[in-house]
Parts: sequence; structure tokens; C-alpha cells
Amino acid sequence: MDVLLDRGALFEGLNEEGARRLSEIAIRRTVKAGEYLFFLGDNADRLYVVTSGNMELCFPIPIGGDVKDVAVESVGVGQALGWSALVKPYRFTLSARATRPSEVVGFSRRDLLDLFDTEPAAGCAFFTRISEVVGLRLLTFQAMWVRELQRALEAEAQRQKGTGA
Amino acid sequence: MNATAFLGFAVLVVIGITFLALLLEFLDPERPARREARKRIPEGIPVAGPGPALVAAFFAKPHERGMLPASAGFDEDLFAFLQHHVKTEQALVAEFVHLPSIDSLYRQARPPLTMH
Repeated sequence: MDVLLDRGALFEGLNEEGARRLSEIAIRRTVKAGEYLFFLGDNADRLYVVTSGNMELCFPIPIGGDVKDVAVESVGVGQALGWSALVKPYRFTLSARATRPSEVVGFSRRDLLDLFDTEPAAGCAFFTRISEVVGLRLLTFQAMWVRELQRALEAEAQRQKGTGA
Repeated sequence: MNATAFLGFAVLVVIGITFLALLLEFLDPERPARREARKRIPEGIPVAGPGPALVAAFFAKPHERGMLPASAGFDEDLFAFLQHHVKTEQALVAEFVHLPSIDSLYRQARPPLTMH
């Protein structure tokens, strides 16, 4: 629990009572190396924080009937994953698997919202940090998508130049 | 043994074998993974899709197109190439994420150093 309450982490600003309640709603889970914590499309009702080890977020790419998971983000100790539990439609948009034996702590959406009802300052800090995580993902993928689009357009322009079309 | 008893015995044997087969299938440790893999192949995606050569070509720089093998299977080499590409792209857009600009958005990877 110390990992969760360290300065700069998600739950900054919680007082003693809030920290105690946070411990009560936390569900610890051990994840073996290579094991999946959740899959893309699963119902998302729990936010997780990594307390040891490392998780990676990936999306599946199907090619010729075979599905491969491509890792797009690494989540280390103290970092959160599964913020889809706080954003409608409450479905995970990536899969999460452990790169080595790991431990995570999960918090249900309902329990978190109940906690922040009575700890609004901590709730504000929490959602500020979550919005930073979400914003970082958005900007990264937005930039990657624009770059691929630019490459595709450049290739098409060169092709058209080559064919004289 | 009369015919009825023999028939009854034969039916029991068939039922027993069927039950055993079902039980072995249920206890198969690979079953959940196979079921999950079947679920995760999205419906509507044709099995004979665009082809791995096309996929690899999409990620190639324009001047490299046409140099990729004609029929590249979705094998470990291609997967490693894809993973490397994703990581490289993420590293290249990291500056844009913290300081958006056209230059940082379209930053290119530096070519590898060569010894002369």
C-alpha cells in the first residue's frame, strides 16, 4: 500500500482515514509472467495499480487467421492501468499481460467513487492524474496515426507520379 | 448371454466411451486458451486478408517499398519487425507529446552510425 500512497502517485492527498478505506477496498492479485490480467473488449469495472513487476498493454493484430498481441505500452511499479473502468462504455480497449511475475492491486469503480464522495480533494487529485494518463495515450496514438497516414499518402503520391496518373 | 443383455452391455460401453471423451476434452488445459483465441479473432475479418506482404509494405518507408519479400508469412521475424516499428515510433513521438510542433510530429529516426 505504501507504493500507492507515495507522493506523486494516484492517491496523493488521502488522509489517514482515506488510506485505511483504500486498503479495505483494494484487491491484490498475482499475475504470472505471460499471463493476461484482462483482454481487449472485457467488461472494465476495476482500475489496477502495479505494485511489483511489470505489465504491458497490447492490442491484437489478426493476420491470416493468426492473432498476435503487439505491445504498445509498458506499465511499471506505481503506475495505473485499466482506466477504461472510469470511462464509458467501461470496456477495456487494450489487453494487459505481465512481462514478469507481477502483483497488482485492483479497485472497483464503485468503491473508488464511494471513497471520493467523502474525500473530494483526493478525488480531484486522482482524476487529474488519470486525465494525464489518458491524455498521454491519446497524444501518443494520435501522433503515431498521423505519421502512418502521412507515409501512406506520400507513398500514394509517389506511385501516382510514377504511373503518370 | 442373451441378445438383450449383450445389447445393453454394448450401449453401456458406448455411453462410457462418450462420457470419457467429453471428460478428457473438458479437462484439457489447452481448452480455455483455444476458446479465448477463437473469441479474439474478430468476426468479419476475412481469414485470407490483405496478406502479410502488404502489411509489411505499409510500414516500409516509401523508398524501400518493392524490396520486401513477395510472400512474407506472419512469422516471428515479421512480428519482431512490427514490435520494433511500434517501439521506434513511440520513441519518436515522445517529444511531440511533451512539446507539440510540426517538426516534432514528423521527426525521423536517425540512420544507424556506420564505421569507416
